[in-house]
Amino acid sequence: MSFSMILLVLVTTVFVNNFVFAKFLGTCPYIGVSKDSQSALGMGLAVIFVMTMASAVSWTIYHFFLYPGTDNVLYLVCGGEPAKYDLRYLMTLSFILVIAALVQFVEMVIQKVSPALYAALGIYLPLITTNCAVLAVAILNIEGMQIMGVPLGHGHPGSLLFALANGFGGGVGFALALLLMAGIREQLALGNVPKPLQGMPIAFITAALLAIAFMGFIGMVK
Amino acid sequence: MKAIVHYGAVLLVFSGLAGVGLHGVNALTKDKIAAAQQRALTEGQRQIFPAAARFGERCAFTAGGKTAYYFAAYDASGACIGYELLHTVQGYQSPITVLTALGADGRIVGIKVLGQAETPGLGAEIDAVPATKTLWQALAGWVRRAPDVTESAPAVPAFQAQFAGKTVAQLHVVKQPSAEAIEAIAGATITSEAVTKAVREAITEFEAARAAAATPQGSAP
Amino acid sequence: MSISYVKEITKGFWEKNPVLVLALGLCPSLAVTTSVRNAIGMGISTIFVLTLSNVIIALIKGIVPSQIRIPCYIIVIAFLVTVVDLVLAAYFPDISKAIGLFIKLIVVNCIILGRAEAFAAKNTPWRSLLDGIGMGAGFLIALVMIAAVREVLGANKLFGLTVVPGWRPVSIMVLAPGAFLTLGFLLGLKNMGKRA
Repeated sequence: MSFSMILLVLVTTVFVNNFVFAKFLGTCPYIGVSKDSQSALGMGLAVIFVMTMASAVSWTIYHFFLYPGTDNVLYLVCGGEPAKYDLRYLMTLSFILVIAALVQFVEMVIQKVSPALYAALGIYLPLITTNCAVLAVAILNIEGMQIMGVPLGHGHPGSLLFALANGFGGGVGFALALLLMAGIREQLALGNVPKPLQGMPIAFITAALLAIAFMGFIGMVK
Repeated sequence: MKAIVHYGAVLLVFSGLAGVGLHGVNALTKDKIAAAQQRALTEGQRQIFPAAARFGERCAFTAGGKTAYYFAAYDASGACIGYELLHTVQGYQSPITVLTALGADGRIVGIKVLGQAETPGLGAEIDAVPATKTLWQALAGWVRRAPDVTESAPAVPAFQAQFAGKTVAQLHVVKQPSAEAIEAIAGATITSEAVTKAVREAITEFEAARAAAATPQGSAP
Repeated sequence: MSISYVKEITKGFWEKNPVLVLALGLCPSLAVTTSVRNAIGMGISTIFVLTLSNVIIALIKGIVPSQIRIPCYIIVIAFLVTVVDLVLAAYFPDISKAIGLFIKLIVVNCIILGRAEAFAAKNTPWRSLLDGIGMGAGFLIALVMIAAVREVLGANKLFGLTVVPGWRPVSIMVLAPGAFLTLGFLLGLKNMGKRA
């Protein structure tokens, strides 16, 4: 994969196909953690790390264990026809277990490195496991992700690199959305919001406006 | 230590049970899944090339840097009367798979969009059959228990119908109805361009591949 | 004091609606509500997974060690989700193509893990079944409400049938911003109803 292709993938996932505003992925934690910038930043960084690692590990598992191809470990060990070892139906199960394990690992690391951040993030850290964006990017890396008409999913020569770039870009896009939202909500808390709209409704309406803004990026990549 | 072994064992048992269960479900459904995909293809083939009695097997060629497929179309007497090309391009938010029927004269007989997940109401209108009834008519019909007067054959979506009879040179997108070009769907330019590109690219590269293969030492497909 | 069996189901419809009150399951609420047909497909799939996972987890809660209960719940839910995914692909391929990714994402739908942890782990299988049905139905109701608004305003259609002939719809409603807007205003409306 050329450097320009990687750059293209990053720009596309962060702006044009932003995971929160264009794909609706990661909305639950997005609404939950975006109340102040500090925890938003910490959460954003944690998600970037988890998404990148999860993309890499899940792609590897898919390529070497689930996909009935010539690299399949079971085929290499037991011989016969590669098509016999089609374990693709185990994709969802294996990916989510990988993500759960990764989040557990990140939680332990953060607890050791920065107990303050751990306390600030609280319940939201283990909730990264249920962040749809993480599982979605792992699945999208395998199937159905095309950039500029080139299907970069599983099978493309540089697809592991694409998986990494996609995971990283997706995480950055999520973090960006989170930070933007946190900044706005901090200001909103001081503002004069009508009573029924306070809290979640105004957060969603704000997200709608941000989504419209991000729609402006469509066509940026021709 | 003992706890970790215990936990590991429980997780392993659970995963094993889940894996075995899924293997069973997969075995039950995978034939149906493959059949559903095959059925969509064969129905599409017949629908857009009614003059063809049967189709040849699937052969591959390259279009737009990816693998595309073509099927030779034969009439009742066994003569080759054209081809059907299967090609996928990226639409606005999903890959769009288009089946193109190419007549022997180089004109398009018809196209069918086999797969897309574009925005409903905008890009997805490429698959929209001109609405013959509104919600209210349907409700009124249901209330009156009127027999449903449905069309006998599945109608061709309006956007796709305009491809019939056109040549490759006319495959560019404009905003007004035109007999010499393809009219885009209002508000769905990217999707309309993608479908047009799928057809144009498939035909151009298929013709090029055929011309290259029809050299003295090669044999035409 | 346990509530009546009927209340167990109906509490999920409105009073404790998972989307509108508990703010769970937001991702699919925004993504699959571009048409009512897709919303119903998603809602029924979720009812299936939620109900069965609630029952299974309530049955196995005795033998699952507490420290690894979350991964075990995830395995159960992932199993059920894959079953739904395969069945949909086999018998309803058009819906599967339209919302296939989000069917797989049911496994991380906060509603399912949330109810497993908050309810099924502490109640009988029978009550968990009722809770699953109720919460799933509430989710379906919320999805259909959002989808109806978006499909009518954004595509001038309901179930693919035209609503107002000749009217150019507000396309943004079927696009991303429309989803956020609809959910925001629906939540606001619910808050207004609560106060009154």
